[in-house]
Amino acid sequence: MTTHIDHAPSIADAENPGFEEEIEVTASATSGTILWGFALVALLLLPIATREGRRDLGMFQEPWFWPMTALGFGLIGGAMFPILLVRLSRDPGFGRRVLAAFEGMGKSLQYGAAFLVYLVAVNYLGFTISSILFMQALYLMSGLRGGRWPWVALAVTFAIVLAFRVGLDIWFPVPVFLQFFPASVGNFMGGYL
Amino acid sequence: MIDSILLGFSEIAHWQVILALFIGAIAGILVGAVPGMEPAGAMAIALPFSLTMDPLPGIILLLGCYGGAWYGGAIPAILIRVPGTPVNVLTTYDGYPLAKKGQPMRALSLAYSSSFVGGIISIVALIFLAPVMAQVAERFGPPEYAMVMVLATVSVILAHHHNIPGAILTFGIGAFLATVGFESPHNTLRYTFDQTWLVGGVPMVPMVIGLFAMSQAFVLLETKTSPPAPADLGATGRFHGLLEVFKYRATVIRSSALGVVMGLLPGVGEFGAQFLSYSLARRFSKKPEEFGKGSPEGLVASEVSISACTSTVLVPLLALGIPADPLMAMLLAVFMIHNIIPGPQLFAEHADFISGLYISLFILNIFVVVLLLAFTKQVVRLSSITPRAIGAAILVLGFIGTYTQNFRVSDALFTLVFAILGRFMLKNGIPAFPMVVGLVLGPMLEQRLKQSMSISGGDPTIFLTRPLAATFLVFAIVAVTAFAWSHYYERKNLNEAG
Repeated sequence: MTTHIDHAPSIADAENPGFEEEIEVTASATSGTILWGFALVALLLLPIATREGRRDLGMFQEPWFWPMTALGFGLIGGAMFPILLVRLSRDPGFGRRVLAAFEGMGKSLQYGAAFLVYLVAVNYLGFTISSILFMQALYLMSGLRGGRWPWVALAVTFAIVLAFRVGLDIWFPVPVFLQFFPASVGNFMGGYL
Repeated sequence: MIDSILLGFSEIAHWQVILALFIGAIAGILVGAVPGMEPAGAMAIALPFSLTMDPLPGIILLLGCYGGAWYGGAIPAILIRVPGTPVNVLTTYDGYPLAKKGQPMRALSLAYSSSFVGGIISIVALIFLAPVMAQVAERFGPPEYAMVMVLATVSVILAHHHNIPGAILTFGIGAFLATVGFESPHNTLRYTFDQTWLVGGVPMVPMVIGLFAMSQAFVLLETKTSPPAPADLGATGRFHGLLEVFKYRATVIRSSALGVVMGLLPGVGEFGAQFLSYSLARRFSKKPEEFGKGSPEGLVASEVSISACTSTVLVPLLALGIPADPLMAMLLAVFMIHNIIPGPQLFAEHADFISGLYISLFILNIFVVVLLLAFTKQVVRLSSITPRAIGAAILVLGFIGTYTQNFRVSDALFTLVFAILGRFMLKNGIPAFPMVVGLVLGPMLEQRLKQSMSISGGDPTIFLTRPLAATFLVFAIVAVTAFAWSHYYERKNLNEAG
């Protein structure tokens, strides 16, 4: 039986009779410690991030009470992560295993950056053109290059645009570049871009 | 009763509802059939559609994606040994060996009929349990609600028994994130740092889409291998498999009962139900040695228990407004957008909606089974779609799902942040679900605690002096104690053994 239920099934699962996904302890402790650190910073910011309320309503009603409770709960419950990480730091190869927590994240960040560009591009080029470019970029970045893949990407994008933009008439901001065209062109094209 | 049924049929007798049922069922099946794509992803895709519809068809569309996925997930699990959704892991244990023995159609039909039986039992349980729970909830005041939420929190955390510290930490962070923005009764701003885009708080839908759909897209975009093409299905065994479920009546009853109960417990759901159901089925089986080698009974136990959860997870959501899993948390957001407030009043104020929902769920199950029986061969081909192409489509659809809700760039940015965070957590085994639960339950718990303290004049013993509140608190304490006790003995036995 699996000991880790939150993972997405992959092809690797099929090769493994028990569907066990080994999570490296150091990597897990590292990621837990990062989250724990975030909670700690948030708690330290509490005095400047919240204001004091009216004293007569009692401590439980104070604006700082619930953030403090939530963060305190998380920090106490998750204190095992930094403790474990400190204990593991004596093991040989510790640095390499810590870095393993970030393995593959570079690629995710690249996709994230592409998503950011897409987000900006929607305002300037409109949903349709931006989506076509974004989808092509994703296919290229993920290694789906050449042959039929650009056409597949184009077909998928058109299907999405047809369904959402034309079919459901979901509104998107009129792209900035249409300002340079006559109003009639802008009005007509705005509905499809 | 008859009136309710007729009311339900009149509610669904609209083209929008029928279309939503149909599209939801197809989307759900496809999502289940394509390995790596999860119901959360499907719901992200369907979200913009649902927001343009009336409440019932909008919610039915999402429930279609949710319910259909568990049926469809059995297809790759049986044919190529890759679970279509994470909960179909145990389906591979007996489904795949059965298919390998040359009976893929029998295995698929048996999985469909088992899911159908479990699904129908779950709807019946929902119909009877939700009003009962709502009636009990009518007597709830703020202290009782607060303690129910404490119990739900304990249940969610204990459900992640392999990583309790991770669950507590992410729950705490989720509950903290819920405090960002405007606060009452003092009408102050918390953690906004003069940023207007933070005044509204951390939105839930972008968080769920980021954590569960887009993080998944990142994983898929990095998956270089494609699933193998399934072998020819043949035509034999389709109807034999359909009726075979009734040969295992005891297993069906046991597994559905477990599924129904587990569905009620926040955080436990399909995972807990199927593992318990499978191990009990093996223990009570006349042929336990066949389990894991193509036992039809094992397949029945797994599929019935998964589907038996699918409607009962709605019970805490409808009666108390407490989401039992991440998908229900997303559904809760949709309820709110459509101004349908879950809770005891829902059954009185929106009886038509509730009746329509019940009838729709019945029809949804029938739709899904009919579609699968008719088009299994076509659906099977989808199992071998390149994961990277799916990941790219999810990213675009995820953008539509978040951006078109409020047309705020900040929502899309939140999605991106949570997508990267979700990918990081997924990779390193830190559970993401408690974070969503924290975000949903946090504000409710804060509000109920504040109200309770106002009632009692700041005296926390109010949670002990009110019988129902004290009972929930005792349940929570007993659950934690029992868990700690069993964990201690498990460790002790392990140490002694090794």
